[in-house]
Amino acid sequence: MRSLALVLLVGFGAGLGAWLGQSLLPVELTDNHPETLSASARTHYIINIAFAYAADQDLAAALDRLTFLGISPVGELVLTTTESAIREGWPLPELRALARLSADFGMMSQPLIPYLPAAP
Amino acid sequence: MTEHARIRPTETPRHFRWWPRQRPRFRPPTRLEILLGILALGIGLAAGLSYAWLLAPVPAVDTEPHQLHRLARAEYMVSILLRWAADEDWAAAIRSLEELEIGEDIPAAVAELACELVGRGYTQKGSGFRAIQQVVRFYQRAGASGCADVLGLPSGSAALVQITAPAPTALPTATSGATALPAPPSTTRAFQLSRLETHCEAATAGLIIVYVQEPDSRGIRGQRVRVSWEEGESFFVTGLHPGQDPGYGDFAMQRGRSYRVELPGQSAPSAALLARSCQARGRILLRSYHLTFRPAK
Repeated sequence: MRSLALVLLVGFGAGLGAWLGQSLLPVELTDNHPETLSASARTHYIINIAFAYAADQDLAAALDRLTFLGISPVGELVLTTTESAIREGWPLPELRALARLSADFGMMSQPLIPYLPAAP
Repeated sequence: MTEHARIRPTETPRHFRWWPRQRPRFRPPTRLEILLGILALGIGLAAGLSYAWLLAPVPAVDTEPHQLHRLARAEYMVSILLRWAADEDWAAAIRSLEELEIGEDIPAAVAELACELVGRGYTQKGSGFRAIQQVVRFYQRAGASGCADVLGLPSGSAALVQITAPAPTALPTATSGATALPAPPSTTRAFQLSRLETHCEAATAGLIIVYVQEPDSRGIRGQRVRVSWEEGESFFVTGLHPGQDPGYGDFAMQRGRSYRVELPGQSAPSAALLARSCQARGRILLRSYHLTFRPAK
């Protein structure tokens, strides 16, 4: 009887521990790869690169830096991020930088047009 | 009538009871039993937590920048500082760097990461070189210093992103294994069309396929290509097709149109490429053109 109670307690503790460890107190993993970045962090990163591109006009460097995110194709990633940023109402300088980067990657869509410089 | 027949069916025999004659008395657990119980619960809990944290942790999704591995955090840091170089918003850069949790003393941590990046050959590309210059400019402005200092420009230089960096010399006092730095490659190189082929095959029908390559045939990613025709033009960039060579890019032609291809500002336009039909294995297809650009000699 006593052994059965002990076994049940061990089992109960294991179940409780697994539930706690997976749901309530999940371990915060570090050393993660950029592919796992949250959408928000990824958007910030892409905006940073778009600003850098606006300053240096180095498309190859922008492509290299965006490849860091591990998501391909990069052009589509920038386009979808730009469209999301427009929907979410990001500030104008961010949207302009994103739209320009997307357009220079050859990725265009209707919502981007107002944020691009007018053609001469 | 027999003896048995007289017993009524609902009557319970006297010797049968549904309850025990005497209820067992509750015996309080001994100290040893309580201790064993706590120990068993603890062992179970430890096993469950070990399973959840070590053996089968919740897969990493939606991670924040501070949860990235060290080099990825350094890349993210560079992006923040490139943006700072573009908009000069110091407070925003500091806020973003704080979220990266690179250390209490942010400028010193930035200097350390810059040093690490230099040691790993980050500056071998011109873009990496210029990026590290911005990083150096950032931490030097905050009064920090590090082994990448040698890459910094004289104080007071402005618009760093637009100037060509001087060829650096060997690091005199490198502390993290950094070695002599190569000169950054020039940002504008002249290219020439080194090969032009026509093909007639279903897989590439109607495509202008462009390869931009180094002299040793390594593809060059991120090269802008201009395709022009009588009424318009289009641009594309090499390296955007997953699974293809980094120097690969393509463009779909329309039947009957004539196109010219060039690397804008870096090469002369190609001869006119006419989108016309060809025949392969009894099928009528649109021909394709394969162009290879390499640095001009």
